[in-house]
Amino acid sequence: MIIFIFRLANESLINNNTIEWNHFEILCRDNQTLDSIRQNLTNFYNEFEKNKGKFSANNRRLLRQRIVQLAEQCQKQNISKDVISFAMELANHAYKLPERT
Amino acid sequence: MNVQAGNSAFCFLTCTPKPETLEFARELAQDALQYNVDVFIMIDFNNVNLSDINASPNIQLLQIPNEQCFKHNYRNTIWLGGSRVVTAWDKALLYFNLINKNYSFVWLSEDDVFFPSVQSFRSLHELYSNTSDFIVPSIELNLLGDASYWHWGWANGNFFPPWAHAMVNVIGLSQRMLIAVDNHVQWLGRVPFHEFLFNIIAMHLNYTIVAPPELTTDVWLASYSFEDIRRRPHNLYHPLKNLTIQKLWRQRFVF
Repeated sequence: MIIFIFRLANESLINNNTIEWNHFEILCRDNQTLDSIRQNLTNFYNEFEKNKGKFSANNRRLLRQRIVQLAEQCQKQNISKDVISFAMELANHAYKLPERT
Repeated sequence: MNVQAGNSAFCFLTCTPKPETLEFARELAQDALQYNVDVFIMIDFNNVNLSDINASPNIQLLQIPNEQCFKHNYRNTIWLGGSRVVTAWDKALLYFNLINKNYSFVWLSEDDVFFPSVQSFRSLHELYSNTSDFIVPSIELNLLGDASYWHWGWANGNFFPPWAHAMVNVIGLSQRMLIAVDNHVQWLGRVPFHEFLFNIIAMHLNYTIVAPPELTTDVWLASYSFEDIRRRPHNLYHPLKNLTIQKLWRQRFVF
């Protein structure tokens, strides 16, 4: 999943011809402890917050859609709830759906 | 979906515009030319001489006599007691409902809301204004109409439950949302308190409400550091009343 988000983010950024986000690669390495993964996710999230304004509105909506789809796949595979919840938060920060009142 | 695409407006709500607000308004207006948003500054104090203000041709300065607001029922929007029954809030709502109704989407922002950059507004506007009726920092529900806490006593008699409220220091309103507000104001004879007015109307009419993450930093009381801003440069921040700090922090940003 992390690899997927990394690719997705990079693709979007490259398509926009804005910035490069090379250090996301670190998320994809094997043999990491849970703590380091958590830290990497936090870094990822922070970078996303700083740079999300450079995504087009359409790309941000697309990002949400794809991240949510991915989170749903993760749920089926019993992947950590922390990761799923991170994905959902990231999806909301890409594009927030209307509130259900 | 929002009623129609078209030009949008952004309006600063001020007592009297400070140089820092004018400077940012100029910058915003220049950038907004590219995506069809007209920038306004509503000036509450009618003793301010507009010809003394060095604005740019891209910014429209507005003043409306208090009497006009009383005549058209635009009063009490932020009133919780005291003598100032009419403020820039009433005047802006009157202006975009009765005087200049051309905009498909209108943003209202108090001048103590901090925008880290013009980009922070632009991305928010482009992301949500075409698909939302009401953009607001949050939605707090009061489903049963319990008037025993907060300012809910003021809602009694103005709205049937369910109720909802939020901080509204910066909000976005679609044209049909503005029309709904005007309908309610004309029925009631005044404007209900702003922190529940918009939320309740949007909820009752089943309009599209978005509380984006970028506005979660619009709160009643907070103290922000530059580091906070740097971590989330696309958020808007309230309150940041020191306009000199606002200006300095904007200058420190390099995207």
